[in-house]
Amino acid sequence: MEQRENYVPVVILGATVKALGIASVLCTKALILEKSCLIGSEFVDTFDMQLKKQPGAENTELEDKLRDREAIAENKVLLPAVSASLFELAKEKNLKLCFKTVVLSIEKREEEYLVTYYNASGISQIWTSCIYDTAETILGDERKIEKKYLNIMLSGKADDKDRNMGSQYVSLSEGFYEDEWILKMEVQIDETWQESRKRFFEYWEQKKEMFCPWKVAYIASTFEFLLSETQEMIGKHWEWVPSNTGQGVLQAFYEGVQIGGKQRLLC
Amino acid sequence: MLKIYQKKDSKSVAAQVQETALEQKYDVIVAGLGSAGSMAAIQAAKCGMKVLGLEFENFMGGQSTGGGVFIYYLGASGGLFESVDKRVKELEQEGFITVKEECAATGRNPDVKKYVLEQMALQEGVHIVYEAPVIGVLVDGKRAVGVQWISNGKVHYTLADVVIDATAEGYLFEMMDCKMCLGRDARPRYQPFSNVIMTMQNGSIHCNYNDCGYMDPYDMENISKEVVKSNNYPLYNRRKYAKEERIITFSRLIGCREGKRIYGKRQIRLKELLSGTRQGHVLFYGYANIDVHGKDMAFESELFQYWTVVCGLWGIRLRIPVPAETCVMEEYEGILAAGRHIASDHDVASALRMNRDMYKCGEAVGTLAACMVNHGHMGDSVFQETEKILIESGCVKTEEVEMHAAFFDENDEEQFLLSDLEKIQESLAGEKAGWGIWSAFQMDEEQIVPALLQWIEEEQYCANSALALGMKGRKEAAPFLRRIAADRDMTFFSNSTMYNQPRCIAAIYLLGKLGDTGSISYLENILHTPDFCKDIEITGNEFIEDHDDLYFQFYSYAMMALLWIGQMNKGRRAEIRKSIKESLERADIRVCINLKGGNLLKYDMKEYLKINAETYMAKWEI
Repeated sequence: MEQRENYVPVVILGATVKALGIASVLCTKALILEKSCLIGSEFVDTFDMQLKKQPGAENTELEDKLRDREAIAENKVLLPAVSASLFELAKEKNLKLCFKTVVLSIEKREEEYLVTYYNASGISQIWTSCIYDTAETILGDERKIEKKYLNIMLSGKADDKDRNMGSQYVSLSEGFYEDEWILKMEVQIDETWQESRKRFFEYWEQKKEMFCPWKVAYIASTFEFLLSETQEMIGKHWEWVPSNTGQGVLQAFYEGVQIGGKQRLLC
Repeated sequence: MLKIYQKKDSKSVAAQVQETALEQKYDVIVAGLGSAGSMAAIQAAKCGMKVLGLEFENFMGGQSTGGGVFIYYLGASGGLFESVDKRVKELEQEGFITVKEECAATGRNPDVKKYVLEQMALQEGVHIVYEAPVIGVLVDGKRAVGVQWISNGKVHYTLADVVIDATAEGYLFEMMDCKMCLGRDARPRYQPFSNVIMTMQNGSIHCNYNDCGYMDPYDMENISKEVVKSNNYPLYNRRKYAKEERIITFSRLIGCREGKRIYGKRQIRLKELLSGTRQGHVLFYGYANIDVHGKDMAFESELFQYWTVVCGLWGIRLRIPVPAETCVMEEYEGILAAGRHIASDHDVASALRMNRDMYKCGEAVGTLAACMVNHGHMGDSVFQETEKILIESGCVKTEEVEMHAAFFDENDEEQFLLSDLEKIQESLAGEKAGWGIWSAFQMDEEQIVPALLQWIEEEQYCANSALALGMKGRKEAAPFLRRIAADRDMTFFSNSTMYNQPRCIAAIYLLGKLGDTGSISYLENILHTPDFCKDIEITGNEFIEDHDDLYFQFYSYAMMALLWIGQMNKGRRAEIRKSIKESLERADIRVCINLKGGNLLKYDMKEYLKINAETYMAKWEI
């Protein structure tokens, strides 16, 4: 087939950690479409700092960069460093990213896909042979979501207070620093942002005395998801490979690199 | 015939719409729930309208909340946003970190504000849809009647009596291919943008940012390139992370300061503003200085140069009456602008973008929209009712209505516009000579020029009289201006505490405007001497941080002065052209600036200088 003018071999949905892993191998053969102007928000903006890595998973460029920055401590990673490392990688490898971009539709035409998207330049289209969707929802479809969370960073020194969360839907874990805590609040899967924020503020109104003198430092602006599955073929050469599958940042990037490696052989 | 206007591959296109696709009708649709849009939606609903609010992000408040700009800088007080802030202040005491103490009067916790705005909107009955970009405008003839938007993969076509474009960049007007003002006239360029991060220090929340360079907010490729580049600057891409100053989050928004502006039924121009002309039906009053962040002032308008560079009045606050007609398009009915894309020139745009003023803009336009719906048209009765409501809410204060458009610095009791020759003369000898020079500029030639020609002969008034004479376009000033330039006179006026140019730069500018051929060799020498100002002692401030910044000012002003001289003196063009081209091609000549807040982060300006020079010289006939 004659090469189209607006064609890229691979389109990746979401500037996630996994997406950057894929793109780090494919370089200019991949185009990443991202709705925000952030990279890795599925970890960075949900305070998911766990550092699991499957046995056998090799060190990657991301891990090297994080270690350079002394951003790895025991079983946690410093999330701002994840963002910095990934932006650095994007610059070094001249990766192609479209920020503030929303995918409007994906149509299969013969052996290729026509991806229509919207951003500051307006509505555009690009042809591609392969799509990796690394977001948690499949073009807004929430069918793979088992649970959804709104995470809140609390600031306060550790103490001996027995914190009864008062709800089975709320849990507390340590942050990166000793005076940092992550409150994880489960919300309804179809709950909107306004409903989730209201849920948290009403919870906090009731429970703030219990948490005192801890304070709310930041409320995440990205939901965290627990997914029922971690992979699906949507169509031929269109694969859903969500980035955050509960395995941590390094594993997500490693898996991306593996996918990129396999894809490179096909491109 | 109903059409949908969209922007496709950077061009506006129109297509027919099936009437069966149309959904329920609202009184008002607000596209964008940022600083202006959030207020517009809430206020329109308070006025009894059925309102649909569509937002690209997942929160309200735009730059003032998720954008990380949660500490106010100027802007006028009064109106709906004050009740929002009051509620935020109450709630943030209930276990939320607050802004640092020294900013407590003007800063509010952004998460709490997101929630308060949202709850207020919901209580007023606004139907909020997040993550819902507007991708088209429905138009019937010359009237906007609704929008096309997308949410969770589903496309919607929704009708409204009034559409408010509160996207800050005027994206809906772009889709309709409306004529719009770009950045500065000389060569379209917008104000520098910033990336904002939120950090926690000593238990309080801070916002930190650099000016990160320039970008085109309508070009995704350019935006993306700049986002990647800027996130690699040291403030964001750190090698070491300190617990004491920990990054909590990165802004989800790009800190854009300027975009296109509509051509409204009226345009606010700096000329009218500074002359105190009030026009049209005033909707609200803004309050700020001409807050230009760029250091490339040499490319700004003549009036800007006079105000900021020659008279050193960058920091002087302006009270800006904003006519309702600046929110109303010439070309289409049924659509209003709310935000920094209302109709103003580039100079005023730098003053009319502060968060408080954007809130007021939103409130005012939301009110206007509601009144338009109630009356079924736009006219005097609509403006009168709008003004009444805005006075009642405090968005407009009665004393503002009575006040002549004015500029003033609340810290200085001096009367700024001097009409007395004696007072002007006195001012010209002082540290705040800017006011004397500006006042002289405002006076009639017959009255002021003889006085200036007399004062210029006395040492204590000489330099500043020369500047004033130069502003009046009098060639008698040239020899004196040349001396100021040759002496590299580094006097700064203290009218403004920031962003001051030294007097020699003002002199160079004026020599250019006078077309002074006697300065050519001096100016060319600047372009060919990379160490031109290395020996000048500088204390370092936000505007001129080091010798790179200083040399850039000399270089850019010298280049522009030569171009103006060439423009006025055909016989000298070949020489000037050769000199500029050779200089710009020299690898040993470094022309760069420090980005504001960047801790000596260098930004190469050579390419931009080349483009400007080429654009100018292309017009010459040689």
